[in-house]
Amino acid sequence: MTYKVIGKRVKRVEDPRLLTGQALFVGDVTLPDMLHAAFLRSDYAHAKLISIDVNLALEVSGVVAVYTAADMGDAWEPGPPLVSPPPTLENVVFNSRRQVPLVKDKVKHAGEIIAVVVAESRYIAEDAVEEILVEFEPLPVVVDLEKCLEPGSVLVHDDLDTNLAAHLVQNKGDYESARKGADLIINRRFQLDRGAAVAMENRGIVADWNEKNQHLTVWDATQSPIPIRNGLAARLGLTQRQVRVIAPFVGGGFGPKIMMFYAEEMVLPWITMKLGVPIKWIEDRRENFYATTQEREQIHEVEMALSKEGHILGIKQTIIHDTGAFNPYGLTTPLNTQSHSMGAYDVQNYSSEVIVVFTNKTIVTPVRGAGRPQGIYIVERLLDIAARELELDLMEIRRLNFIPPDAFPYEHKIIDQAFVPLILDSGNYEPAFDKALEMLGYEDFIKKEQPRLRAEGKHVGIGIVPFIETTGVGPYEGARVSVEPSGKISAATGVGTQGQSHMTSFAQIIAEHLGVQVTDVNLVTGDTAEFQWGTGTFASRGAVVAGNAVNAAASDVRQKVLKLASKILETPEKELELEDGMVRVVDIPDQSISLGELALLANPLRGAVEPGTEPGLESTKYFGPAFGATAFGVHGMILEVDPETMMIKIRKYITVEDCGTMINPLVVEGQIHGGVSMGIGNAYYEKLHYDENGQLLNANLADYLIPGSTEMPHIDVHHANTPAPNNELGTKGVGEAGAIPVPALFAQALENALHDYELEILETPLSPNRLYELLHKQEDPS
Amino acid sequence: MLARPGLPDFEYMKAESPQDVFRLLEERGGEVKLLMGGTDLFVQMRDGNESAGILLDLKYLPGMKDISYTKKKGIKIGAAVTLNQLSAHPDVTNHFQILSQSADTVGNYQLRNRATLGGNLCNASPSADMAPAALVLEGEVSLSGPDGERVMALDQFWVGPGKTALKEYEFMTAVCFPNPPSGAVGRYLKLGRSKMGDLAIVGVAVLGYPDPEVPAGIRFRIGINSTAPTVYRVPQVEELLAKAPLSDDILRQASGEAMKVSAPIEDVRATVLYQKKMVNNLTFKGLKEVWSQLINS
Ligand SMILES: Cc1cc2nc3c(=O)[nH]c(=O)nc-3n(C[C@H](O)[C@H](O)[C@H](O)COP(=O)(O)OP(=O)(O)OC[C@H]3O[C@@H](n4cnc5c(N)ncnc54)[C@H](O)[C@@H]3O)c2cc1C
Repeated sequence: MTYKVIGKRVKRVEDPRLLTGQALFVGDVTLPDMLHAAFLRSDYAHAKLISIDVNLALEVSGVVAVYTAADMGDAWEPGPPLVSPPPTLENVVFNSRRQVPLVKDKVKHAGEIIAVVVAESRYIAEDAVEEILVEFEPLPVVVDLEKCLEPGSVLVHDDLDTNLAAHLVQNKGDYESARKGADLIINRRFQLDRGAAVAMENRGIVADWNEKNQHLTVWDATQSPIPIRNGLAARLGLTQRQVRVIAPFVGGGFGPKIMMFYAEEMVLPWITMKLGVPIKWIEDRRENFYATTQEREQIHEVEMALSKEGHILGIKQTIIHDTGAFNPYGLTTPLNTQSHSMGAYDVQNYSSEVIVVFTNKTIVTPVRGAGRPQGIYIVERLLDIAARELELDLMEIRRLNFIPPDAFPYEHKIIDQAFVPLILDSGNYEPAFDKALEMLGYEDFIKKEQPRLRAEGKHVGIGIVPFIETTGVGPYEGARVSVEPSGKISAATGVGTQGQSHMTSFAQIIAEHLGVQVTDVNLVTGDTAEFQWGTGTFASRGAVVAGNAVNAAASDVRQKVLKLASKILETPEKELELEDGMVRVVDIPDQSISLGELALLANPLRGAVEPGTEPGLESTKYFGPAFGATAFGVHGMILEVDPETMMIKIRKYITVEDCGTMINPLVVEGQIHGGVSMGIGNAYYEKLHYDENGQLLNANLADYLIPGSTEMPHIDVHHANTPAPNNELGTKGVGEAGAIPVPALFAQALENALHDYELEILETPLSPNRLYELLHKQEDPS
Repeated sequence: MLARPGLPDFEYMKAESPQDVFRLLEERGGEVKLLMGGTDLFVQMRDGNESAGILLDLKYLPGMKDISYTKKKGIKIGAAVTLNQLSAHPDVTNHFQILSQSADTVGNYQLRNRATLGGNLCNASPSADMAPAALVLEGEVSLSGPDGERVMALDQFWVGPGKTALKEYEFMTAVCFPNPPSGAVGRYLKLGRSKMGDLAIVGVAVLGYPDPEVPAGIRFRIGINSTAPTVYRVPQVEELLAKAPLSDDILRQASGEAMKVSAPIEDVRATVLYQKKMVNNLTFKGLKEVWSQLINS
């Protein structure tokens, strides 16, 4: 299919507003009589709550109310489960324990909320928080992923006799038999640690109950306004129509802002209904470090069986996944790790056990990549190690094992995070891989440049890592497209926007069908009053699921336009074209009518709307894929390491991306750039340091270092295109792709750069300090 | 005035004359905090490590933002001179280049528009980036108090992390640096986890100059930060380097000695092993660079 607008590098229409500070964020929402909330949070990671005395806080001038769990009465209940355990598997253990609005009897991680102060200003509220007297009985803390499972361990949840949050095993083929025939068995233990998403905008909520019209409006920096609306209605005893949740522009989602039902999201709406005035809270950076969800802490015990030629015969692994103090997000993340641990490879025998544990740490939910970077790390590391042991070329062993193009759709015979069979819909891996090698100049570097650099004493390494990303999962999204009498198009979809350029790319889809300018489309996202069905922006699904719903609705409107125009212009539909906001008779440009005029005619003021038709040129459509679309990519880099300090310099960074049909390559590239920057953070800079008391030691941006522009390489992006077969547009998601292969890529390139050391990297994130330690373990500094 | 979230309440006052400062300090004593760029102070207040009823701004006192240079006496830099000024001022870049180099390593450009030399030195952080260079340039600080002015060598000024020899009611007005010995070359090497915006894991300033009196023919001064309670010089290492003809081996030996003297503590940013090794490696690198520059010039 050739497109006129889809696939073009259209500049983002939302940028002028965003770049000049004119876009609405929750922080910009100010309402008459609005009060402000501040939270008292626990410093302890694990403690019994003995008593709370709020009297002094209430005396602070300007304080309106102070609430604790006791005040909530029957309204106090844990957050709803966001996803359920996989129903299709046998022998699944799943102990659901969800976060609570305010701590009632026991604190389970540092940063949990003890009380909330409502005051005339945030300043007053913050000061009054200091006046609340709390008596705690500190309890021993459990943070270690393995020790927490030992008999007699301290328990995070006293009503469970274990810290086991979930357990499940998935098997494909027969690993044990495969192992018997293997020439090489590799056994390794991997330790992957936690990072934070560090969105530029922290969380924020304004909740406004209007007593007179019995209506609740909530502005929420969330990725999923519709589930929040539904949940609030259910909890507050309102109809869904009485609740409107608006996610305006959101300054970065990255996962932690998915339909979490954070404590604050439950508490603020409850307070506004009690007080009848609007309440605002904007999270500060310190709160963000303690109270916003995090990810990636896992221990893997893995075994890979191979033939001497380098064929993967099977993989077996046990994953211990830390979910923190609660597990509202079910098994999404470890299931993603499970399904990505086979990477882009044809693995016939796979046995994998997932053990999810509770610890006294901040809750874990997906963060850009959502378990996938861990899976890719495991399989790519194992292949690097196997290649070395078998004396095979690192690239050759990958080519040998790629799923061949004729094997798609490729069924993995396990279930994925969406609880549907893991089926890779399409792909063509080897040409994309070869392209990456070519872009990086792999052969030349290995044969000529690297020997020269090594002779100069330089430590410059190369790495290439392919990866898959399952994207575009269901259940569904919808969109409404409508031609207005002005000739402009209004459109709405339920997903929220946190930087994905929906206003541009969805407008391109509409412009394609209706022959209007992209700037003639006014698109609303994330407002439940505008569109009330759907789930949200996550799992790299916006362009696939919402994009195809937009496509279907726009296509349907086009049919309506053609039908009406055909009648009015007395010309068969197939002789009409939509161009420049007009419907024209092909070859007779004078015979035409504008979309605006047609919209007026479709909404007659006299007479009747004919039976079987609807007024207006409008359509609402939904799209729900049976299973996701699997994207593919390859990242490569050339990396220089200073062995004196272990500081690095990325000399070259390339990616080949196959996300099927691209709606807008500029947007795709932006997603990759952003993803790579997060990946670089995950690989070499960002690690949350919890001590044995569950205290986060680097809860600020001075100590928790995120890479800046000085750490970002120039990135060359090449686009491959294997359209997704199961959706009309052929799109696959790309939102998380950039972050997924980077830790594995760093490990490979670092080992290559430091070839003269015996280095085997089995952990991430690294840092100059940590890498130095790995290389100089035995040295005594004194 | 109400404080922002996280900051306590405070009043802001601008000192017009030194007498203003003394008077206020006498009247309101413990409540007063001296303010320059505020880039350390506000962070400390937000974190609850400092409280203040009054922030007394010293930046507008006469002479606080002046830089004056004479061939004879060297340079006098007002305590409120910003780091961006240090990085660009011709008298600094021409004669005290290591100060500009050091200034350029601090935080980022926006920060350096506010951050001052006086603030960096008075804050007495073990990781202060201006301190190693200021030490090897053998700077002296001018302090003003109710009893008058006094001058103090910088190596007497820091007494512990965040602690200076400033007396009650006293403040810093300027820092003076004598002209470095002729032919001097200086280098400040800062190691942070990222290229921009990180505090020093280790920073080493090396100043070298020809000295025919010593067997080495060159004398070095070495200042190191982030690896002891205060920023420090390593006289024993400097002596060692002066004693014998220079060679890579001697530089290496000297760097090893510097590493032995260093006494870092472990934190989330770096382990003891790494910090000690980095003292060694950066000292060697700094010495080597300065040495090569001296023999090539
Ligand atoms: C994002 C960020 C990054 C940073 N990066 C670095 C870095 O890379 N390297 C580095 O060294 N520092 C860094 N800093 C720390 C800080 O910016 C510097 O130390 C700066 O030079 C302090 O100067 P100031 O004028 O802001 O001091 P202020 O904060 O105004 O004052 C600092 C302290 O000195 C006292 N004081 C100030 N002036 C006087 C005076 N005349 N007499 C007596 N006492 C006085 C104040 O009371 C206060 O206790 C960073 C800070 C931030 C916020």
